[in-house]
Amino acid sequence: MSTTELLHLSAGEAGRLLQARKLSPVELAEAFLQRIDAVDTRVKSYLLVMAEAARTAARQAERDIMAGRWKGPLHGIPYAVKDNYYTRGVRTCAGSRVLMDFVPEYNATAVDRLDAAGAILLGKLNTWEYGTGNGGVYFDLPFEPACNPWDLARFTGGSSTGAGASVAAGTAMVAMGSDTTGSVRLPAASCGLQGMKPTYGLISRHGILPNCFSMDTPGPMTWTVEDNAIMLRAVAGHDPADPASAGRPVPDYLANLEAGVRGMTIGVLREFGPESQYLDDANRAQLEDMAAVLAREGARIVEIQLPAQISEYRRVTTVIGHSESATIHETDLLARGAEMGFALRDKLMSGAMIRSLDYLAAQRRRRELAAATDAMVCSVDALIAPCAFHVAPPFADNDVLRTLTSQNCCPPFNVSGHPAMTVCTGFDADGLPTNAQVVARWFDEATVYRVARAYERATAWRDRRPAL
Amino acid sequence: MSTDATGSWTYEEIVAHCRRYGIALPEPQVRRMHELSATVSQTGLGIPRMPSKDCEPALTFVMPTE
Repeated sequence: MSTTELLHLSAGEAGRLLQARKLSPVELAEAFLQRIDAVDTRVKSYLLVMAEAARTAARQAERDIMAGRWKGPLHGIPYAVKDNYYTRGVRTCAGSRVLMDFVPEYNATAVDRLDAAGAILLGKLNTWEYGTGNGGVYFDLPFEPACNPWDLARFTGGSSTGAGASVAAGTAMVAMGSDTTGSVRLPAASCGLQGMKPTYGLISRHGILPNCFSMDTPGPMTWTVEDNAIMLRAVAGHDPADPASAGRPVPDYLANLEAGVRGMTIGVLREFGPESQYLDDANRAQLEDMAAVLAREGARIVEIQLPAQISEYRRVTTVIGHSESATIHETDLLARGAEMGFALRDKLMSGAMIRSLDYLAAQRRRRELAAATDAMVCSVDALIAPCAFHVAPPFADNDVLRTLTSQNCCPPFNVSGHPAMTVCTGFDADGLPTNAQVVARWFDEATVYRVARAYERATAWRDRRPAL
Repeated sequence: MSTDATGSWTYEEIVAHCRRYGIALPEPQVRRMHELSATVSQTGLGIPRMPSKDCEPALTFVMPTE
């Protein structure tokens, strides 16, 4: 198999070959490490490549598999994590000068679970500082921003910038990001990936640099829906180290993956108040095409409405998110604020000015919005909605670039906690990925995957890769 | 940045705070608010900061399990 063929395998395909001993974990890891060497000076998906540790882990995986100790579909699969995931003994700086000397003493629970599954950690991925920001890119961090593999002069979307870039560029087979108000879904949208923000509490937040205690949601970013389901199955489940961790059993997300959508009622969110005007033509057209595809696959398509304007959800996420970030990082802001980048400092200073009255009002409004949003979600089996309103913007104009983060339909499902997955819905006239998101009921990621897979199977978008 | 915090507000700062947030109070109550302000600020400042970023607040919002 050529290097290109290796790099273009999905994790599902590679896992089956690894299990059958038709592919070596060492060969697979080496292909990705060579890919990193070949393209990452241009893509900048990594902040730290763990080449020797990856080679060591790959050799161990090969010994284990050959000895009959196969651990499952992730055994030998190369992955990478956003550099806000703690990794024992390995620098975790979250893109910041302030944390440049931080070496955690323990792994994030998600990393432990992926390691236990036999996956091979390639390194730490680029990120906005502290995994957050104000939507802009200011080139004032110790690392250059990641570049979009579909057009290196364009933004990846944030804050899981490197995770989006790595899977699209082939510098990682699968990746883990984190989403507070869109930070998995927006880079997935901009980089043409399938990116899941699961139900809040499904994946442990333990060992991930906190941004907002009550909304942070880790999530897998992958090329295919099957890969996403494989990753989620490995990392999901109760963790006593995370106070918000859900105690529900984790289903087999692959069991009904190919069940299709025949007989399902799927809602389409076409109009959502004044912000509807910002949805660009290409994304709007592909959302309609997605509805048509699902209808041809046998779903009943119905119109649905959000119970409130996106701006109302966004106001709640801003007050909660900024307040909690400022609380978490108060010491850093006071002692080392001058060393922070403009975007992080902006956010923390804003959060430091929010009154408790307003924060609690936001949490009370959140409960109300979550209940109303749940009523909408439960009126159908699943729904599709816009996610990013724009294709990947160019770096050249920061005001335009910021609209990717300020104009989208991510906040409703961070407020409510419902699972929401970005899927690639095609490409615009310039070859840039378009997107939509699939949403289902709390803890019903299986239905999200089922709908997303039905759409993926009926389209050819996964056959097209960036021409790096 | 300085970490010295007195919690003190001037009367003008209280007036500005009320104006900023639409707190319409008669003048004697604004003066009373000024009298209270130092205690309020110092009470908040006196809450120990958690030693680790991982130390979380008591939750008021969790996903329903049923």
